[in-house]
Amino acid sequence: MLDKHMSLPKKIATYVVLIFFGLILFSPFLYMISISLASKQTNALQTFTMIPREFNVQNFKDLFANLFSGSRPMGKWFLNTMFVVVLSIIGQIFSSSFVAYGFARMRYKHKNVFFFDFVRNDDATWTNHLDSCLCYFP
Amino acid sequence: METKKKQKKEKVNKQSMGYRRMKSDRRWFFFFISPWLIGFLLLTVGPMIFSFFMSFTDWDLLTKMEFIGLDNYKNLLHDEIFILAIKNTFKYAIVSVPLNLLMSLGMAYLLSFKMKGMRFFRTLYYLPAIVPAVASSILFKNILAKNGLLNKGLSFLGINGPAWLLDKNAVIYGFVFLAVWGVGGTMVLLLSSINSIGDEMYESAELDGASRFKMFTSITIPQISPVIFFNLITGIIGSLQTFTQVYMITSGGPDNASQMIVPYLYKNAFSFYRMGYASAMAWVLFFIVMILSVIVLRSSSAWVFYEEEMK
Repeated sequence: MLDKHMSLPKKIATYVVLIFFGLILFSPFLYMISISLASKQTNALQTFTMIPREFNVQNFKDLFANLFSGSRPMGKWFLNTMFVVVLSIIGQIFSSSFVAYGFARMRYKHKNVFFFDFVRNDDATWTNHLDSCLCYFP
Repeated sequence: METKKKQKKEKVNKQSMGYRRMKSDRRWFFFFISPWLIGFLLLTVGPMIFSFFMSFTDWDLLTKMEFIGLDNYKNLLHDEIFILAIKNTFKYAIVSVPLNLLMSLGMAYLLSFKMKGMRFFRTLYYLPAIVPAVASSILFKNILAKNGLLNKGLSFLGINGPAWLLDKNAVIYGFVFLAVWGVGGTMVLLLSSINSIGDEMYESAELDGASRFKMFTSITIPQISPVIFFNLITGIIGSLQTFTQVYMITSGGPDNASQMIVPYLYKNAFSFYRMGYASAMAWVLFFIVMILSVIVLRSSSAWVFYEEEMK
């Protein structure tokens, strides 16, 4: 790697750059938290600040008040999402290993033609992507 | 002796088995890929054929389909908003794709250093990429507002930012900020390939007295060029198909200054119910994507380095 003999000033410079860009990338999250804690008045005036000035937890209370009834059944939505997520993960794991086995182990003259289309498929790219994430965030 | 005979026998067996094995393999091949193949035929090829047919008709989902030949395509040529949408899409792609690649390359390089706390920074830099597009769009509607976070940040630098979402000339660049914020997705792929480069090459380069910059351009970049290439292709295709941001944040405004191909297609199909016209647009986009992909693929032999080819 290129980082073997880094001097202290260079290391500090690297940290400064990393922290600077990290703060920029993180600031929208802070903003999101601040907006979620804003009161109705601030919301109407759209005068949000990055560092939360008010701690109005009413938004969160409303969110979790009626989980399975009312106009915003968050719990129901969550279960709906989970239903799709769990079933599609199970389906993906089964079908992907099936198809991958076919491509890897079976001999067929024209299989590359099929493979090209398979890789272009969004699900496959997404799986690749996920693989590399899992490998590098152990 | 015994073993040699056995090996010979096995070899003969294998040869005579070859053809039969191949034949039964073919059947199993189609059996194993059938989950994908059936989905591909029913959910991709089928609808594509239908949309190709639809692009030659005039249809509003309710009344009878009417065959009108190439009229949809002819009308597209005179549709000023469509031409503008293509221009905007290209403007967005030309700015956001290279910027995204450069930013993610720089970040991946910094994050590949083995220093304390790197795992924390990796997570921090990747975090925006896992925010759903709809959520980040709504968030950036606030950030890009006249008195939003971005303009507050710019005012620290003494820059008086425009009202990003209301300014005709600035709105596309507003979307670029959103794209750059989600740079982590590309960064992770580049980072993983930078980390997989062996130490030997750097060590021998160091012995030869190469500078750090020289090592980066002559070792790191060629080694990860297949991943850069992959990100370039997916980046181009992804940015040409931009939909969520435009639909959620500006819905094409102000005065179609941020209208892009897919949102306009969607508007024609599901607001104006011109299914045939929208299908024609989809096919024009398909060919644009196709031509660009082929150009980039062709160029790849000049700058993408595959180790296997050297042997």
